[in-house]
Amino acid sequence: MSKLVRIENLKVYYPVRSGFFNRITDNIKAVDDVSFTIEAGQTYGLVGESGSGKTTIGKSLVGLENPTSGKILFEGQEVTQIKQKKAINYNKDVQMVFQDSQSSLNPRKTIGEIIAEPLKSFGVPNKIGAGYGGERSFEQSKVDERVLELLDIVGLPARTISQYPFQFSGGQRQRIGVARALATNPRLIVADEPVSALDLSVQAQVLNFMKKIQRDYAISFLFISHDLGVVKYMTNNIAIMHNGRFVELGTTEDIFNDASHIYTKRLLSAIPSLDVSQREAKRVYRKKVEAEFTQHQDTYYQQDGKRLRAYDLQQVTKTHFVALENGGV
Amino acid sequence: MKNEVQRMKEKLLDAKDVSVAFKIAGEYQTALHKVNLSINRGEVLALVGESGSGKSTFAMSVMGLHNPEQTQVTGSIKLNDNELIGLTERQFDKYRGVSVGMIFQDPLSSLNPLMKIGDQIAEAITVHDKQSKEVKNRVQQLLLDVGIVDAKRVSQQYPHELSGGMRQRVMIAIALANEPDLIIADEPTTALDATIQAQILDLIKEIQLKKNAGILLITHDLGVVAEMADSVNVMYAGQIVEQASVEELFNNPKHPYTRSLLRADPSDVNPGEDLYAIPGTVPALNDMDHSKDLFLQRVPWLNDEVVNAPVSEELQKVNAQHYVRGNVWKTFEFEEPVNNEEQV
Repeated sequence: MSKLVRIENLKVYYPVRSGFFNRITDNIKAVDDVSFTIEAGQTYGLVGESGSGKTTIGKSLVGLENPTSGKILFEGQEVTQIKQKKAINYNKDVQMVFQDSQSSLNPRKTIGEIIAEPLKSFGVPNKIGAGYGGERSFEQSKVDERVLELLDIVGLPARTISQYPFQFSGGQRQRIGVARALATNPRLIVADEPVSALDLSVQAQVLNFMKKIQRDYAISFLFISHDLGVVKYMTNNIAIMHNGRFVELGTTEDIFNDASHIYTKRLLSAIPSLDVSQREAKRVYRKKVEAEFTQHQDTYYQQDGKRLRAYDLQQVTKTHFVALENGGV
Repeated sequence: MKNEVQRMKEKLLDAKDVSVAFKIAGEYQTALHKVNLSINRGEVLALVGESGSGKSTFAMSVMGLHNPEQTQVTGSIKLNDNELIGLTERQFDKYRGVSVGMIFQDPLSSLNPLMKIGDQIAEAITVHDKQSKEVKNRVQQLLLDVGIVDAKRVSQQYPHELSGGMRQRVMIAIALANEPDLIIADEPTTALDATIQAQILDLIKEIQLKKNAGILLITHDLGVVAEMADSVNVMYAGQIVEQASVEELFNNPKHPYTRSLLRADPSDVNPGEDLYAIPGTVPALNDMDHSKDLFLQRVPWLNDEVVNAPVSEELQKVNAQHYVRGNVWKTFEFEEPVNNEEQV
C-alpha cells in the first residue's frame, strides 16, 4: 500500500481580535497539531461532533483553507499552501463532495454544465481512472462525451444532461455531485457528510456507489461524518476528533472493538442499536460512560483555558494510537 | 398496582380513518390515506417512514396546523374522547400547548430569536393561564426538569447563545410547560450530534415515565425507534404498512418495506457486502393509487399481477401485537444475490 496523502502537525488557528488596536489577542484552535496518512485506494474516516474541526481538515486538504502551520504532502510533494497546490495542478487530483447537494449545485445550470465545469478548467483526460494523467483535451466534443460517460457511471440517463438540479431527488443530486467530483480523475475525494441529509434507502444507493467507484478506479476517500454506523461500514481507518485534536486513531476494528479513550467510548455508546432487548442495558452503560467522562476529565484531558485539550497520541499497537497521558499506563 | 396498570392502558389518542388531501393546482391530492392508530397514556408510539411518507402530515392534523383552505382532513381524531377534526382555530387553541405539546426538529427556527429563553417559556404558560402568579418559579423548575442546571442564567439568554442540544432542551421545556397529556416529537434529534441525541432521547424517556404522558415520536431513524418506542407504525406513501410492538417489529419484520429498510441500514452490514438500496422513488402525490400496496412497485422481481393486486383496507393480523398491510409478506423473499448495479 502506498501513501497518498500525509498530513503532518497540521494546525489551523483562527485569530481572535479585540482591544483598541484590534490586535490578535487569542487564537481559536480549530485544528491543533494533527497528523495522519491516507493510503491510496482506501477510505479514511474523520469522526467527531460538530465543532471538532473535521471539516476544517477537509477544507485544508482541498485548498479552501490555508493552514497556520504544519505540512500536507501529496505523494511526497508539499501542497500545504494554496500556491503550492496550484504549482503542481493538485486541484485536479483532489475533489470534494458536500453534504447539501441542494446548495452545492448551481440551480441555474443544467446538469451537463455542472459536470462540465471541472473538465473545462482542467481538460478532459483520455480515459477515466484515478490519477490517470496523459494528455488532456479542451475540445467541446470531448467534454460532452465525457459528461455522458460520467452520467452513465453514476447511473443517470443521458437526457439528464439538459435538466436542472431541482428536477432530481436528493440521492440523485448527491450522485451528480459525485459525478462532478469524478470528472477530473481525482486520486482523493473529500466527502464531507455526504449522506447525512439522505433517507436510509437513498443513503444505501450513494454508499454502494461510492464503494463501487473506489473498487473500479482505486480512489481514496476522506470520509467526514458524525454517524458511526456509516463510518464503520465505509472506512478502513478512523481518527476520532475532539476540540481540534485527535483523541484516538486506528483501523476501523481498533476503534470499534478496542476503544480506549473515554471520548471514543462515549461516541460509541451513543449509537442507537437496533437490538431492542439490549436497550435498558445500553442506557445504563451510556450513563456510566457519561459519568466517567464528566468526572474524570483530568485523566483524559489537559486544561487549555476553558477548553479540554487531548493529550498527544501514544502508540498502543502497530496501528492503534490513543491520546492518554503516558499511553494510559 | 392494578390501578397503575389501568392508568397505563388508558387510551389517550384515537385516530380512525384519518385522511388528508392537499389542494394542488385546484385538485385535491391525497397525502394521507385512512390512518388508524391509537396511543395510550405512558406509551411511546413511533411513526417511521422516509421523507414524504406522511408522518408529519399526520402530526399536523393532530395539532390542527393544516391550512383549512388548502387541506381536507377527514376521519376522526379523538384526544381524551374529544373530537379534534372539524374544530375551529379558536377551539384548537384550547388543546395546542395545553393537552398536546410539540417538539420540532429545528429548535433554532422554532424559537423566537428576539426573546429571552425565560420569557418564551413564561409565554407558553401565561397564554393559557393568565392568572398564574408563580410563573417565574415554574420557568426555573421546567428548565431544571429538562436537565438545565444553570436555569437562572439560561433563562436570561437568547436562543443564539445556546448550543443545539440546549436549544432542544428549551423546546422540550416549552412543550412541557402546561403538563400535556400527549407530546408530539417530530424528528426531535435529527439535527443533533450522536451524544446529544442520546441525552435528549434519555430525557424524553424520563419525562414520559415521570409524567405518564403519551408520546408520538416521528422519525426516519430506525435506531431511534429501537431505543425509544413501545409500538411502531411504519408508513409508506401516506399509509400504514406495518403496525407492531417494538420487539415484534425488529425481531420479526413482515412487510417488504420494513424488511428493505432494515436491510439498508449499514450498521450491521459487513463492509465487503453491498447495502440493499431500494430501487425507484416514492410515487408523486397525484400518482398514488391507495387501493394497491404502493411499495410493491419498488420490488422489481415481483410480477405485475402481484404489484397491481387490490389490497384490503384492513391490516392483516400476524398476531395480537402485529398487523401488516396486504398479503405479499406471507411469501416475500429478497432476490439473491442483491443486484445493485442496475439501479437508477
